Amino acid sequence: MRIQDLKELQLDGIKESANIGSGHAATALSQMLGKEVSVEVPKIEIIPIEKTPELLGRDAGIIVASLTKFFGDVTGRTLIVMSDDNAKTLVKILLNKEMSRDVVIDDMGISSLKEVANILCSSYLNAISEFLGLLLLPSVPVIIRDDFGAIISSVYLEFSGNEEFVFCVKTIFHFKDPKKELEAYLLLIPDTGGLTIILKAMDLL
Amino acid sequence: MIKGNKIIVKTGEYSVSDNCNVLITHGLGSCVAVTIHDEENKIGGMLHYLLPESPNKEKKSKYADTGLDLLLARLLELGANREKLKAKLFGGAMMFGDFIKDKSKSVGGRNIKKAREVLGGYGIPIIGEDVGGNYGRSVEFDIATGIAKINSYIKREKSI
Repeated sequence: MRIQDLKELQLDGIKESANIGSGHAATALSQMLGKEVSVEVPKIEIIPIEKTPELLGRDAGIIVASLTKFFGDVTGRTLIVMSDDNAKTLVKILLNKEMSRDVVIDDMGISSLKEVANILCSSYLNAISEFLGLLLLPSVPVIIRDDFGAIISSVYLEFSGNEEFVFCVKTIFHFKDPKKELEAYLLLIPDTGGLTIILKAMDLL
Repeated sequence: MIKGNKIIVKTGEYSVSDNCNVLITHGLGSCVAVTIHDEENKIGGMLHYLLPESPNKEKKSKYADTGLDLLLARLLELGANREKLKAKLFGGAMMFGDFIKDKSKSVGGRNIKKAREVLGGYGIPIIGEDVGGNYGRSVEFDIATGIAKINSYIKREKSI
């Protein structure tokens, strides 16, 4: 199956499972942070591999990302992305301490971000797992701080096995903080074979 | 100080110039950027490719083999002296070492190897490189001087 040949109905099915996943993830996150978390309807992106630096729709620059691998019936990766500033604000909320803009997030901060990523990602995959009746098991996340373009192109080049087009389901989470609105992107990147299994589970293949 | 115009070379693309312009590329992870330069004639070019080998003939500048062929041809068209050409390599990082089982097969490593192989085949010497590691880079290559400035979030700015 070529990802550029996916039909509307199939894309809607994938979107629906991601929607259920992100709903659960938002609830889990909201409880963990004690803040209101809202979530946008997931969007599917199928773009040529050389366009991946534009995947977030703008020049994202330096970001903090959490990469998770998942195993089981479906294999693939999830990438949670937020701006450096948003990551700092999140650490501040989690650890209840002040951080100035030019301070680099310390080990404790990284560890707390890892925990958020873990909860977000596990609840997301769990809900999809239940909805599809398939097993999806996440690994421990790896946190990386670097240029978005470098990260995202490397994720696809290293792992996707497709040299032409890339596929992802993009969901945006909004955290309501009294001072400012935070956002984080969750990208679901199933392996090409995994996509077939998801569609089969929904009788869309 | 940079005198020329800045030309952005996007991922999977290339650019050549015979003015004293500056070629810039961002977001080099496992991708590799190659600059080829004729200092005497002030002609230079940059390719930012994603993968070592092209399986077909589509989008040549995405791959090291077809992309470097393209870059060299354009430089010669602009009047570069083949005997004077010198190359520099950047990028080819392994961003997610923890997730890669067979590190010898990482895309970054294969990308660097291919550039050396192709440039060696042309007889173009590689006079500088900043490759490998586990971090992203951006590169500014000044055609007037042949100096490349490398920026990353982990290391200090450096010039080669």
